[in-house]
Order: sequence, then structure tokens, then C-alpha cells
Amino acid sequence: MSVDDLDEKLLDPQWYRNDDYLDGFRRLRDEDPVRWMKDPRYGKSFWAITRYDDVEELLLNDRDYSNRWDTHLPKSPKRLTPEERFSQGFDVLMPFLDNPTHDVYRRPLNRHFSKPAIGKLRELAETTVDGIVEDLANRGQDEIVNGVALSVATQVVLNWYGVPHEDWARVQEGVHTSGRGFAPTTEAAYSGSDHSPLWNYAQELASERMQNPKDDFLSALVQTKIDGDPMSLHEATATIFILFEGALGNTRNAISYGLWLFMTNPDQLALLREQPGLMNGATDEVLRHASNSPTRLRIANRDMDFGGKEIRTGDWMVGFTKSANFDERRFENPRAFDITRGESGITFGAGVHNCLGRHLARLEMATAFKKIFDRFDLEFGEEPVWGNDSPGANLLARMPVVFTPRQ
Amino acid sequence: MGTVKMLLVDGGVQEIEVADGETVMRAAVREGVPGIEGECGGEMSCATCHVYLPSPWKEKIRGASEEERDLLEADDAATEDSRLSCQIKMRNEIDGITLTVVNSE
Repeated sequence: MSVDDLDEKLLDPQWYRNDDYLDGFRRLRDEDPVRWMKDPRYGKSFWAITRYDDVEELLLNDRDYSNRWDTHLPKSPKRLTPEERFSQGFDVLMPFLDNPTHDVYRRPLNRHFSKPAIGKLRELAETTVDGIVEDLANRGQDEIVNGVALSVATQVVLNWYGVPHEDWARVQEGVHTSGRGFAPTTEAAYSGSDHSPLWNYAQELASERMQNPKDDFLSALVQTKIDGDPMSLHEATATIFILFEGALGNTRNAISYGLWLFMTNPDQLALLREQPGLMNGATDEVLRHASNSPTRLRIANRDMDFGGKEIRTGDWMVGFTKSANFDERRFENPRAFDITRGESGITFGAGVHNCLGRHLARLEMATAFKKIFDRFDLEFGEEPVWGNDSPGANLLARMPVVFTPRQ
Repeated sequence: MGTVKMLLVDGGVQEIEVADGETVMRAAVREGVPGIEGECGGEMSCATCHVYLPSPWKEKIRGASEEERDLLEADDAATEDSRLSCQIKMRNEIDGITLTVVNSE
């Protein structure tokens, strides 16, 4: 395999179904770490950036590398019209904004998602997961991706937000249908996407909470001041929309992948059970290994030199986070799952756009892993099925597990 | 270049050098001060660089922004002297100050 062969593979979801793609990433890192890729099926050429330091630099330099198109490599490179962008809130949503406007929306939200603020949700997370674990004990087996992992990801967040219980399935469906919820699938083609079910629900909620505030997070959220004045309905809708999208799919995928990692690395599970103090580092190592947010897209704002290449204004720069997180230059023996490493790598991004929900994701993962591994021994019920929603990493589509209470 | 004395949670003291214009958080992370995590890298989003900056030094630098105050509010250990050390930049007026680290790792 030469790096030239990789041009047609890098965006092919099928390429990621077994571990060969990790060898491909390594070749790119070693031989052409900032490589101009032409994939005729995708329809747009771009720079593939595969080394950790380069991906980090790409993300930290928000002056020269812009989020104006999207923050992830989109399924299609077709330009969205301003009308389409407005209908999905791109005009007011952080992942699609550069500074100065980005911080206008991000800064007022940080107070709700800081480490101490999320720390206050510990009891809620524990009670929620306790309920899920009881249910697991009763059933004895579970397809964990859309079972326990999705349940944890959905219930902790929607409880905190204040979404009525009877609407939880609607939110899950909406995230799935929006096509940006990172739902791993074994389908060969990119799935379609329709944001409107989730958007419409977000708008209902926004409108309701603006008119009749309750004592919940969503009510506090829609009262956020933007440049000193309360959010508009469009802003509130978009913010609720993205807080659904960001939370449910990604956290589910990290939890599933983490359960798989511990099941296939029993020495690490034993270590964690012996030394529960390693949990925080363990969840970060799961995140590094999963790289479950596999691509980042930035657009060059001007002609630049980057990684020894000459970049033109408007060039697409695509960071591959799994490759970065498996870069031998940054992590020794990167394919090994080693919970003593304790770094999440570049999975949550870096710089101004880094994941707003990262402390919440870590809390959910830590709570789920602790309670599941304290209570049960896990065995595969069937072979896990791998899939992905977009190229860049392999994620679990389906994993039936047998849960046996420990003596 | 200035010096800052960090009073640690375990009772120890660590003196660190902070370049002019550099934030105390950046220097503290570089010098491995326990309890200063700087997890977000200085974006004022994580509140893991919490320090107490008492009078008279408190008055020598610009006060906290509304966003900084909102972030600190979530920390139960916050007092009137609380600051995020990613928002404290070294200048002559605060050379030699003493800060208290608020949280352990």
C-alpha cells in the first residue's frame, strides 16, 4: 500500500471496518503528514492532516483557520445556501462561528459546563445510572450501544436539561434523523439527514420555557444574555438543538467503545477495579482511543505555510483525530489501551471550540463504568458489529453483552 | 519577569517565575503547581485554575469580568478574593505577590 492508494480510502467508511486503516494513518503521518487528497467520489479536495502536533496547531490557530463552513468534515461538500444555514441555526451556533462572534455565544455558556458546575450533577448522574443498572440486573443482557450506553447518554442529560420524560424518545429520534448525531451504521453510503424534527422540538421547548420559565437548566439557558440582551427564539432554539445533538450521540459512542475496551483488555479492567482512583484517567484514555469525534474541518483564511506545504486561501484543512491520537510522536505504543496514560488527546478538540460538554461526558462515562464494573462481569453475547457514521474512526454499531452479577 | 508565591493546599509553598504578560496559570502549569490544572488552556471555560488573591494586591489589577465571576460562582470554595489565574497577567505591580491555590487535583 502506498500513500497514493489512500486517496480513495480515507473517506470510505468501509476502510475503517478493520484495523488496517491504522496502518494507513501511520504511513500518512510518516510519509506525507499534510497531504493534498483528491477523492472523486467526495467531490472536493482537501489537506489531510494526520499528526498530533499539526492537528492541535490547526485547532489552536483560530485566526488563520476558520470554522465558517463546518467544524467536522460534512457528508457532502455542497455549499449550503444562507437560507439553509439559517434554518439550522448556523448563523448563531458556535461550531460554525469564528471570533469575534463565537465567544459572544460561547462565553455565557461556560459557567454551566465548567468542572465545578458539572461536579454538582454528580448525584443526579449516580441516581440515573443506578436506575439503569437495576434494569440491567433484571434483564441480564443488553445490546449496549442503543441500550445502556444510549440510556446513560440520554437520561443524565435530559434529566438535567428538564426535558419531559415523555419526550425523550422524540429527542433520540430527532438526533438520529438529523444525521449529525454520529450514529454508527454498517451502511455503505452516507445516510441522509433531516434536522427539522429535532429543530421543531427544540423550538417548542424554547418557546415554552421563554414564556413559562421553570426551575430547570433549559429555562436558565433561554434567559442567557447575548451582548447584554436576552436570547431571541432563533438563538434559543439553535442552542437547545445543538445541546441535544452534541450530547447524545457522542457520549453514547464513547461509553460503548469504553465498555468494549475494558472487555477486550481484562488486565486494565482488573487494574481499574483494584485502583478506582484511576477512573478519571481511564475515561480520558477511552476518549483518546475511541477518537469518537473523528474529523475536524477548518478553512484557510489566507495563504499559509503549514507542515511544510503551501496552503491557499480557502483550502479545506481536515484533521483526523484518530490518527492524531495514535501518533507515536505523542503517545508511546498508542494502540495499547493503558488507563494510566490519563490524557484524552485531541478528541475534545483544542482552543476556543473545545467541547463545551467535556466535563459532563467524563462524569457520565465515569459513573457508568464504575457502577457497571462494580456490579457485573461482562461477556460478549455475540460478535460486536463495527460501523461508523462518517469516516475517520471505527465505532460500535451493535454489541450484545451478557451481564452477570459479581459475587 | 516576576515572581509569584503559591500557597499550596497541603500547606507547602512554591515560588514560580512568570514572564511579563504571561498568565499565572500558564506559568503554574509549566512549573507543576499542584491544584492548578488549567484544563481548558486559558479559554476561561473550566474553572480549574482557581486562586485567592487578597488585598492589597487584588486592587492592583483589573477586576474580574462578569464571565469570570459567573465561572467562579459554581465553585463552593469561592470567596470575595477568588480569581481565575488564567486571567491574572504578570506586570510590575504584582511582582512578588502571594496567591493561595484553592483546589487540590
